[in-house]
Amino acid sequence: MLTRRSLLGRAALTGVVALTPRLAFASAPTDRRFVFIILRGAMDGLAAVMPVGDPFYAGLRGALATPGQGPVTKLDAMFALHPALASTAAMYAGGEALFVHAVASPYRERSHFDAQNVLETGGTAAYALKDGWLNRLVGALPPAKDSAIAIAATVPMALRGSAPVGSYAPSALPQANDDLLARVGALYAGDAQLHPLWSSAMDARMLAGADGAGKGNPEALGKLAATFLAKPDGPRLATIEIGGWDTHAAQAQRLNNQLRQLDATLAALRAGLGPVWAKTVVLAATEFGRTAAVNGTGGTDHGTGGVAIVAGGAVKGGRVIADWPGLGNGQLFENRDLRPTTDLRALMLGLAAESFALDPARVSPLVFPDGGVRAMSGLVRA
Amino acid sequence: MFGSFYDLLLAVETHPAMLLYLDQAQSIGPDSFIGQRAALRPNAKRKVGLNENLAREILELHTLGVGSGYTQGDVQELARALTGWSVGGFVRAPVGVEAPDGAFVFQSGWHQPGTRVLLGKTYRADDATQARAMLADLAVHPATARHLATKLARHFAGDVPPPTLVERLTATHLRTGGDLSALYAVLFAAPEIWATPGPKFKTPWEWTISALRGIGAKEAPDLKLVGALTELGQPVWRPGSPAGWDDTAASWAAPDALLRRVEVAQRFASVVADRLDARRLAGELLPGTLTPATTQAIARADSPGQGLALLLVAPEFMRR
Repeated sequence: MLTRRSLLGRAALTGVVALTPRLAFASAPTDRRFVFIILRGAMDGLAAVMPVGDPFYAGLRGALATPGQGPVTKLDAMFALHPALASTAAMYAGGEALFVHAVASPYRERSHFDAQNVLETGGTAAYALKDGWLNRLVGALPPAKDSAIAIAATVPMALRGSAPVGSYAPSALPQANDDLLARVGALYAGDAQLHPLWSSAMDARMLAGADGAGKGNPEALGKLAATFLAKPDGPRLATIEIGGWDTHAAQAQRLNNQLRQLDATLAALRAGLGPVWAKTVVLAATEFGRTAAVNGTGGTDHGTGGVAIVAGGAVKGGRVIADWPGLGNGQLFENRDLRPTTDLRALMLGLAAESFALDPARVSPLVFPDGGVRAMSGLVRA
Repeated sequence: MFGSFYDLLLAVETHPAMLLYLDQAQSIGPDSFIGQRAALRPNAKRKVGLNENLAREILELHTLGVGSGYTQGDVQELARALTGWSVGGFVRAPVGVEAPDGAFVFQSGWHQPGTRVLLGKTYRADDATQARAMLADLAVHPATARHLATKLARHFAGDVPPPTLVERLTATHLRTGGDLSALYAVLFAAPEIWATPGPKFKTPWEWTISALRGIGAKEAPDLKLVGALTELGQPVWRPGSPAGWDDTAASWAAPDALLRRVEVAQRFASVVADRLDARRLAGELLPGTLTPATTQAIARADSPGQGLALLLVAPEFMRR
């Protein structure tokens, strides 16, 4: 299952794997576990955690307002959960999951590249910080005796930096994901030579039944992550990356698949961690949200505010945390996006500090050196 | 490679890999000293004799080209002249000959004695210079000039070689005695090779090398390149026939091959996505050919890695 070993010195030369789900770990002498799931491509927060109580929601969202894949889960008076997040809904009901809405990093443009860099470095501007916020968090923890555990190729920006970090990945060669294939198809659409060849390749792939499921699926990665995190002397921090959230078109079906993957990943972590789940906090966050209104192709475009998902046995769950800005005229950010009212870094800092019993005032300048972050509190059981 | 086509031809035909691959290293003239000795032992396990393989491919593939008028008699005469061209260490060291393992050696004891006639011309020298003189004449033969011109034009200007370019290359070859630099100059001046989009669909080898150069990967221990090239359809050093790899898109632009390139591109991209910004790199790698569609696709990629993968499989990067 696991194949390769490389130390951080080499990992620094390699890079972010954004196209297929991957894992990376860091170890530290604490019994708490922290998992950061990076949702690359901008998850539509308004579809994952739907503000059904907002009077403007249904009008803006059109057909996307009511997912057809099953019953939604009522979370509170304002919010309902997408049907694909069934396991997460069960965690919410059991007080093990919460959602933070209208949240965003300090980044206010709409480039995936730059926004993911801000999300992962924990800075206020793209490329300003050269290491990841989780790596700096590792530096704030007591030194680990065996921190350089490494298997596989790449460490995402969020975990990269001076603190020793290892990485692991499944041995199976990742298939190109559906999103990349769709983009390649679009790129070849106007090419007289490549278009028919590509169409033929996609037809064959469909016939072979290789569309999507299979190698490198997130559920397997969740299980794999749990295997390592559950070990008493294993890593304490992990990152998992899930790409494919850039749903500009035909969002209803695509997002349903994406959310099912995320849901399965969380369920696999919970099942795999067993008793350690009680000491675990999982944060799933994305680089930005998507437009409040549905676009002309049944999808949504790059937006601003979105949702973060927090799960784990240590989480004080069962609630949606939102200073709800509203979706009406004059309430939207730049007349199009959900207005962010919570700094994602405040959530990150609060979760990190409470998970590892760190003083947020002391750890904040280290993990978020650009400053201006007030840690959220009351998120994690002591 | 500069110099003349003869230099190139001689380097190829005396290369140990070629001598071994096309069986020249064990071709022995029946009337040579060793050939005569062997004839005295008709029951010996190991038969010795002439092998025409290299001689035939020289005429058919390396110089004149198939159907250009040479005969089976010409093949045999060239094969006889080539006897003795071998590789040190391949068999026991020849008496009195300095032959380091793996180096070209002329085994005079294997050489078929006598004058030879190739394409109507008589070659009297009775040693290693005999076949060299034949190669020198073959290198500047009009059929060779046209054959080479056609291959060069196909390789650089398009799967259907432009006839006017073939004419210009042929004339230049004959006028300069096969001066390679003069041929390159004709190619560089040809508008056909600078067409947009690139006139050639890259072979897997070309695509892989250009992708690695593009992402600045000088060493690639994690990329499993030998396996990747097999997946892409061009296994390293195993072209399947002495004609070498085919040089037209029909052989390489296939549905599954495209899908494999996307997978390999994704793997390459995953290794360098933290260091390279595909948005900037696109203009550097594809000056003058980058299309707005590709620029936009890269800009809209959902991650740096996806952007790089899209750059590496963009239509303009698939061609040269």
